[in-house]
Amino acid sequence: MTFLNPWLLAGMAAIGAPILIHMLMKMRVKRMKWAAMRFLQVVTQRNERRLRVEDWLLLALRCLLLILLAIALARPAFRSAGGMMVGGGARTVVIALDNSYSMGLTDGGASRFDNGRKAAEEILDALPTGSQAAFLLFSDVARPVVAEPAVDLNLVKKMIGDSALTDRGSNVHPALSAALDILKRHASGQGQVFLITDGQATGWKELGAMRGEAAQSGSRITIVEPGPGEQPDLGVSALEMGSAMAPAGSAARFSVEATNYGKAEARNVTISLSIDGEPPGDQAVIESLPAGESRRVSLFGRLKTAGFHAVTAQLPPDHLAADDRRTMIVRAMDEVRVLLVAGDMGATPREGDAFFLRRALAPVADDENFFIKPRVVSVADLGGIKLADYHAVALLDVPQLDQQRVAELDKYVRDGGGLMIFPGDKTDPASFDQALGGMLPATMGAPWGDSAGKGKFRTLQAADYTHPVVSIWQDPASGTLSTARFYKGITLQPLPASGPDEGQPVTILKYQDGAPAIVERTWGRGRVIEFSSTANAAWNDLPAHPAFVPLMQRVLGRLVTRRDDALNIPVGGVFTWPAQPDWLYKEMTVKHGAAAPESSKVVLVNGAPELQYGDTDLSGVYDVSIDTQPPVKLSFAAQSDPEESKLDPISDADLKTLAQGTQVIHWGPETSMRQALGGGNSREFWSVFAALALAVACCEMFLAGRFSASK
Amino acid sequence: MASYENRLLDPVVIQRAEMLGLNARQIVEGYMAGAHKSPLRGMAIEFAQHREYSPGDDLRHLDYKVLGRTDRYYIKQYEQETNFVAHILLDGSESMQYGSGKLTKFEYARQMAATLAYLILLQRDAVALSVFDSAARERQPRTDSMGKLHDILMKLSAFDPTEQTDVGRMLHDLAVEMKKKGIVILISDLFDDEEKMLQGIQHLLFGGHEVLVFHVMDHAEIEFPFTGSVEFIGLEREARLTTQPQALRKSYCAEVKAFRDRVRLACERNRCHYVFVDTSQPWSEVLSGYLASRQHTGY
Repeated sequence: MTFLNPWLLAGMAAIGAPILIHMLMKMRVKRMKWAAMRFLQVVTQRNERRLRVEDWLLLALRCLLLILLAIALARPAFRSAGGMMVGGGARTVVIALDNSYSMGLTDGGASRFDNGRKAAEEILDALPTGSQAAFLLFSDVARPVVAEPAVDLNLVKKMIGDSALTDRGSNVHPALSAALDILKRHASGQGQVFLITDGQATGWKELGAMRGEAAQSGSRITIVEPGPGEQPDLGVSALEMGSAMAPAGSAARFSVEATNYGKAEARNVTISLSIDGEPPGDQAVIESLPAGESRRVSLFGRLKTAGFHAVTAQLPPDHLAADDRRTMIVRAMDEVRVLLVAGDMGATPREGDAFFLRRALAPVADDENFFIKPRVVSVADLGGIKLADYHAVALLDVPQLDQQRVAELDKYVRDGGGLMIFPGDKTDPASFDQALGGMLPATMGAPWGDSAGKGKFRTLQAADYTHPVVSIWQDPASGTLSTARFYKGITLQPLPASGPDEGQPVTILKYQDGAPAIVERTWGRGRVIEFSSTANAAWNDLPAHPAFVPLMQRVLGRLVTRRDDALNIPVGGVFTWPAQPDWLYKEMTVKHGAAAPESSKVVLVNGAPELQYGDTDLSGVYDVSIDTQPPVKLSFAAQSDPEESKLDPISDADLKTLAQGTQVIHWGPETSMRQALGGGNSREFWSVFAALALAVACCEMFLAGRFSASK
Repeated sequence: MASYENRLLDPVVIQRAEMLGLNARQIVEGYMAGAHKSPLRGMAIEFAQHREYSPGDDLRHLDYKVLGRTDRYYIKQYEQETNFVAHILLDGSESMQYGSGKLTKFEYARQMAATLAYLILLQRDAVALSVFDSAARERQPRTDSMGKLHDILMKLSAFDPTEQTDVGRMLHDLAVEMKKKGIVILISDLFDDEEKMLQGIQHLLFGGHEVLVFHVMDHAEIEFPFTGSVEFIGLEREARLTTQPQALRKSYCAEVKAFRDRVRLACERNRCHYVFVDTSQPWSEVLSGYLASRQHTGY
């Protein structure tokens, strides 16, 4: 025999209570002078033995009652040789219901989630009287709703009825761990777990680890897969800025990817793009989208004013609504200020280090207004400039930096600024490596080549432009970067991150021989992009190529949009945004769709005021308002994981390897959950002891009444 | 009246009892004319019978009319009306100290004794008093003077029970002491050797005395209404006893009832009047009830 709540056996210590009461009652004696002792002596002698027997019998019954109650509460059960529990009826179960967005799949009627709720309610209905159930919702995280097994199954049923879908991905592992932990604490592992999930393979990636936990627990596991089964599904799997930046009032290009998650080819798929919830402004038609494949299209939208704009790519509605649209927040800018720090200003501007970069960033006449506003200064002038006034800073052939400049640059980048570093003849690589340390995405190694020789040169990669900065050259129609010649450069050796605020180095562009030509790293809220060659024609002829202008603008866009990365978070992520000092402790209201607004305060995080919001289980736009005069308004968007749209199921055979005796039930309206409860490994014997306790209590009451009657 | 007289003589009781009176139920010897027949024949007020003359008889009692008609010598005999002597025996043992109400058994019995004494004196009968435990502790010799009532009441008031009882011995002693027939009124809880006590009563009856037994018990001694754990401490030096009274109530009450029945039957068998007195009842009711029944039944 084993006990499901063995710690409650400690309740047996309560048998001391009646003994203590008995002793106290014996000690609480009234004293009285009495004349008729002769009669009292006679009757006492006659009844003394009987009274003593009655006293001890009642005491024994009271102690027995407490022992039986303690045993009943400890929930005894018998384990058979096969590991099954046999005995009375009451069970302890944990129902874990998947509320990831794939559970929203419908066949035109009820969704998998609706059917999952029905299945959960049927499980509760099928439980024997006295059973208890815990309930948790899971997606890629497990959230206990009824965290402790409750005897009030109606409460559990109500919680199931009130549960809602999220736009999160799925991972069964946390849910299984949480469920087994509940059973371990409340049923010594001897309960039953019901995992109600659509069984998509992506949720079972950690099956190996789950097997170990399930085997260790000994709990019985039943997987319930509610229908409907697979349905045709198209989803917007990606939405990104195609343009380098989004200037206010100009059209911006957006790259939208559509994926066919169904089993059949989809034809004439229309993708539309809308800004700020207005009717679609641009759309494209994909004539053929084979099953399992993705297609990218470029769509254009005009961001009329500076500020935050919600850009939504949308497909026609289908069986899974959650992936039919994807929204991102883009901040349109009136102007982008760039500080170009030249190691050599040159006798004339044309001879300076910044000439070509300045022209590439603002390829218009000097008197013409352009949204990118570069300013060229010398290294000596850098000390008097407030870096925070600029969206990006470029160091061009700067020989070296003193400690103060390095500290200013470090703070600037950490606060969201962008930094470009171009080497040159005056640059001391060792000095840079030492001064900037981990901020550099790659260490500056020894120079290679000869700028004067012009004989030997390197070229850039001709294909595989996967990085967003260079992705436009994936299309041959956009030209090529591979024709530029690089006569000299420094060897870039990517430097792994060493702190939590540092991103890993990423190679944006390589030379033909695979050596890194441009490397980037995020640094705090900002980004650093390091080049292996100059920004002018001293070491290469790239400035003379048409690709130089878009490349530099895209690099600038990469730096400038870094601070807006926080505006687009994955579903379930935490939105953080640097706040102005006067926002501190002001009320922050966040509203999503038609839901009621939620309020919180602007708080200090690591000594700096910050907006934080983490309740982002749903995708789409969240509008934030700060209670200032006038109110500050901004928006962010949560985007769901496209992996969740992959509905390929894991096989029943694989699922059954989870643990010995694992059942897989494909739930339908005709399915009887009583059969799922068969086998009874959670059967218990507490009711037997409870009945015995009741019988002893009745016996005690009867005898106490009878004994206390005068004799 | 003095304060103890006020305490011992309740005007209401006296008024009721006066109306009923306490009459001897059988002929008693007395020394003054009263409401009671004397067993002595001789000089008479009321004719009783004739007897033949024998030499030495007082010729004043010769019935000449009979002599003239029948020529025989008969002597007239008369019944002499006399007062009776009532001897009140009040149990003053320690067990009489118990009382669950306002009065202890002794205080109640003391009132009874005072009232009876007053009543007897009022009807010009004689009364004697003994307060006893294992022996007579206070005595008031026989008196028919109302003036002595004061002494009786003083003695009753001053007495404080401290000793164990011996009713039987006391009755035997009294039977030996009492030369003339009278009424013996025993007021006691009778918590003593029943056999010895009965023998004492029989001794008195044998001497021609009328015996009245007022069996006094406290209401709690009859009903035993206690609960919880109680340690009973005997008033007459019995061993202490701790028990749960509610569990024994029925047995106890049965035991007390059996005791009362035994005493009552023994009294009835010996033509001795037995009156059970529950101290929760007003004494006036008990006394008037008793006197009324006595008048009705001729006792």
